[in-house]
Amino acid sequence: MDDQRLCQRALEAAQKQGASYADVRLLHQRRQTINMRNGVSQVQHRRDDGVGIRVLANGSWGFAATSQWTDDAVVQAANRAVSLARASSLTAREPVTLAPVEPVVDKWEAKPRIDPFSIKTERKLALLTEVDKSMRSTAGAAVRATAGMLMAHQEEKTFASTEGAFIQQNVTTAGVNVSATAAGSGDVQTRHYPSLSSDYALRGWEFVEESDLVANGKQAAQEAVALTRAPQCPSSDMDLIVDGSLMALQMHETCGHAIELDRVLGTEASMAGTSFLTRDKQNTFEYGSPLVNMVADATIPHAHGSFGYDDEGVPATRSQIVKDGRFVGYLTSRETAPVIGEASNGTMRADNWDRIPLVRMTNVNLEPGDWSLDEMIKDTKRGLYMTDMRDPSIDDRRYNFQFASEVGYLIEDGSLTELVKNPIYTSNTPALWRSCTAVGDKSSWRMVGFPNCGKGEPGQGQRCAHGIAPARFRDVRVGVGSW
Amino acid sequence: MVGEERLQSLVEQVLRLSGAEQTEALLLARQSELTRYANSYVHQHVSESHLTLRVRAVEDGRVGMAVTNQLDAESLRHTVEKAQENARIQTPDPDFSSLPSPTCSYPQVQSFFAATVEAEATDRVGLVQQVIAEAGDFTACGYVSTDVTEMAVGNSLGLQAYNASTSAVLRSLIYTDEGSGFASAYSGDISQLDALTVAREATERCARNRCQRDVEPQQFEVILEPYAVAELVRYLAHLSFSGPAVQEGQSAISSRQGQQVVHPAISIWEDGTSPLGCPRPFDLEGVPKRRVELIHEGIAQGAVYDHRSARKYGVEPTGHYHFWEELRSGGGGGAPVPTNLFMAAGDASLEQMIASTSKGIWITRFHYVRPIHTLRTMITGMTRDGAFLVEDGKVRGAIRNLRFTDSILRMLNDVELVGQTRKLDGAFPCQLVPRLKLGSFHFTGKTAH
Repeated sequence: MDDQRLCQRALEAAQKQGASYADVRLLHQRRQTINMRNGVSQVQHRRDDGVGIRVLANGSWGFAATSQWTDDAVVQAANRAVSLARASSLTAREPVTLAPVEPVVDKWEAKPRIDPFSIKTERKLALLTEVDKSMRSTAGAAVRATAGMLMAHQEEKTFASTEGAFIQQNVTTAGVNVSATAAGSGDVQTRHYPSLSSDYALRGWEFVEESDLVANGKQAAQEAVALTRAPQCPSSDMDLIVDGSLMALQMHETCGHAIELDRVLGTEASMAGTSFLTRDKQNTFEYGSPLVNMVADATIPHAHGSFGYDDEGVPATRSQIVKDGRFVGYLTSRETAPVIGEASNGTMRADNWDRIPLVRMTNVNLEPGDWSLDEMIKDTKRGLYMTDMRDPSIDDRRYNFQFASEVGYLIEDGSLTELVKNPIYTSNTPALWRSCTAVGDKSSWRMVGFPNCGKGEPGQGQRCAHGIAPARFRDVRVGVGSW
Repeated sequence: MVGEERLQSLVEQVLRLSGAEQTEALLLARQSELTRYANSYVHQHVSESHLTLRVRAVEDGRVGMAVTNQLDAESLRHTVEKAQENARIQTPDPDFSSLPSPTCSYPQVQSFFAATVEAEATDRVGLVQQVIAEAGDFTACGYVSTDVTEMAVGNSLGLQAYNASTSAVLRSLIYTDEGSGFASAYSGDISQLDALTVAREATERCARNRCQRDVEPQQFEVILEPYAVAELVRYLAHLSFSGPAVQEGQSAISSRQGQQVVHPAISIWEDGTSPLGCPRPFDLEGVPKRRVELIHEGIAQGAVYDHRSARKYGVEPTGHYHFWEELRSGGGGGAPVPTNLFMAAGDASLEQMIASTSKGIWITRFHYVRPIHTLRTMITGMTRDGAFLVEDGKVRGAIRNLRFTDSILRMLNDVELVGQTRKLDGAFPCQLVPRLKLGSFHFTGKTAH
C-alpha cells in the first residue's frame, strides 16, 4: 500500500470517530551502526518503520502508533487515538486550540554528497581498524581500551493532516566517534574525538572522511595517557574559556532547554522540570552580557537540527533567542505559541513514529563575536581553557549547573601552560552568561551535532545541533568539590 | 498481546532461514500506554505497539546482527541475510565462544498480571483524577503508565524461552509557587497502585516545602528517602557492578573484591527472580537469572556477567545480558548490567533518624545525577522536590535546593542508620531499597529555588 493512501485511511478513520483534527506521520528508516571495541567489530543493520496518529477529540489530545503497515492496523490505531483523546477530556479545563498554519504540499530533502550506504561495510571496518591500531601503537600499553563508531541513517517521513498538509521529507545522517581510555598513576582517563556525544550531521560519507579519524584518534590516545599523569584541576575562581563540544553542551543545557515554551508552561514539570525563563522575562530579562547573541535556526544546510518542516507541518525558521544579551524569544508550537501571542516558529518534533511531537531544540546557536581564540588566551592573565564535554548536571529550572570537560589547560599571563585533569565548573545560567567578556569570531565558529537530546515521558532522544564559538567568562568557580 | 505461539513460530521461522553456524532470534513485543498529566489535567495520552526482531548470526567467531520491526516473510529473510552478511565481513571476536546452550529449566516467577493488560484508558485517567483531587489547590503533574512486554528467544543450539511481563507506574509531582513534593509507586499489577497514598505523600511533602530558606553548601548529615537511595545505588551499579568492568580494572571495586568497601550495615544484591522486585526468569540471551551477592555486610563480593563475559573470565553466567539502550533506539550491542537490585533493610524508623540528627538535610530525591569520575564513584546532582533542614533532632523547615558532589562509596561508608521499611522503584534497574541516614554528605552549590 502506498504511503499517501495509508495516510488518507488514518485521517478518515480519525475523523469518522469524531476527531476535530488529526495528523499522521509515516516513517521508513534504515540504519547501519558499526562499533569497534578493542579491535573487535560489531556491525548492526536496523530497519524501523511505523505510523503515528495524533488526534484532537473533545478538545483533548490522543496518540497511537503501530509498526504494522496495514489498513486494519492503521485504522485501529486511529480509533485508539480518538478513544485516548476522549478519556483525556475527562480532566480537561480548556479545549486545545492551535495557531493557524497554511497547509503545505511539498517535498524536502537533505541530500548527502556521498550516500553512506553506498560505501562498502568492509571499507568502514578497515577505517575503524586503522584508527584502532593508530591509537594503540601511538600511546602504547597505557591505552587499555579503544572504541570507534560509524553510523549511517536514512529516513523517509510523510506528514499529512486533516487540514490538507502533505509533506515528504528525506534525511540522511552520518555520525562518527572514536575514544581511547588510558590507565596509569592510579587513575583512568578517557578522551573522545570529536566528543563524548560523538558528532552528527545531515551529511554522508564525506562527513566521515573530513573527520580524519586516524589522526584525531591518535591525538585522543596521546591526550588520554597524558591526562593520567596530569595534576587535578585546581579549585578557584578564575577566568574561563569554554570551547568545542563543551560550549555546545553549555548552550544546550542553559539556553536550548530553558527556552522550550512547553517546558515554561509546565508540561514537562514532572520529568526534567520547568524553566527559570518565565513568560514575564521575554523582552525584559538580561540573560547575558551585550556580547551574547543566540538564535534557533532550523534552516542551516546539513546541520543536525535542520529540517524542512516540523511535525506539525510548520516551515523551519530562524528565530532570535537572545539579542545583545536580552532574552527575546522561545521555541514554540501551534499549541503553545498563541499563549504568548505569536505564531509557531516550527519546533515540534517527535524522535520516531511511535512518539508524539514535543517542542524541541533545532540548531540553537551562539552567534559569532569578533575575538580569535588566540586573542582571548593572550588577553587572559589567569584562567582555565576547557574543551570537549563530559557529563553535565543542571537543576530542574535550568539555573544552577555543573559542567565537566575531558581536558583543561591552565592559562597564565596570556599563554596555555599546564594540562589539568577532571576540570569542572559551576555557576548559574544568567550569572555565567552575564560574565561573558569575549566571543569567538566567524573563523572559530562551527556546528556540533547531538544525537539524542532527552525529553518527555515516555522518553525521546531527538537530533539537534549547536553552532558555537569559544567564549570567555569572568571569575567562574572551577574545580568543584573535595576530591 | 502477540502470544507465545506466534512468537515461538517466528523464532523457528528465523532459525530455519539461517545457514549460519549459529543463529539466535530475539523477539520483543511491547504494548505501552501512558497517561501524562500536567497543570492538573491530562495533556498527553499515548499508546504504542511494537514487535521487534533481532537476529544474531555467528560465523567462525564473528557475530553479525540485524534488527527489523517488519515481520513479513521477505523482511525476515532479508534480516537473516543481513545478520549473516555482517557476521562474515567483520573481525573475529576472540572472547566469543558460543551462543548459550539450552537450559534445563527456568526459575518460576510471577511477572504477569492480567489486570494490567486489561486496564483501560479511563482506568488510568481515574487514577490521575484521584491525584488531582487530593492535590486540591496545588498543581499536579506526572503520569500513569502500563506496559505489557513479551520476550521470546531461541537459538540454533536448541535454547527456547518465552516470558510475558507487565508493569504499572504512577508518578506524581505536586507543586506551588513555593515548592514541590514527589511520590511514586510501581507494581506489576495495576490494581496494587494506590493513587490516594501516592497523592497524599506528594501533597504533604509539597505543603511542607514552603518558606524555603537559603542554606550555604557545606558538609551535612543527611536522611535520604528511598527515592534518593535508589539513585545512588543505580549509579553505583552502573559504575561498579558489571563483571567486565570489575575484571578490567575499570570499577571502583576491581581490586577490592573480598575487602570492606562500605559500611557493614550495607548489603546489596542482585536477584532477578525475587517476587519482591521486578522478576524475570532469563535475560535477553535466554540465560537463567541467578542471585548475585554484590556487597555483603560492606564487603565487595561479586559482579554480574552475561554469557560471553562469563566464558571469558571463567565464571558462571548470571543472566544479565541487556541492551545499553532501548531496542527502539537501536539497542546497542548488549552488555552485562544489574537489573534487579536489593538493599537490606535495617531497624531504624524515620523518627529515629530525625531524632539522631544534630545538623542535617532530609532529602526526598535527586535530580540530574551524573558521574564525574568512575573509579572514585564521584557523582554530582541536585536535590529536588523537598529538602528540609534538621537541627537538634527536629525538622526546622524547607530549604532551597542544593548541589552535591561526592563519592558514592564514601557516602555509603558513613552510614549511621538503615531504614526498617523498603520501597520498590521500577525504573531501570528495578530496586527495593530502604531509607538511609548518612553521617556526612558533601554539598557544593545552591540554587534559587
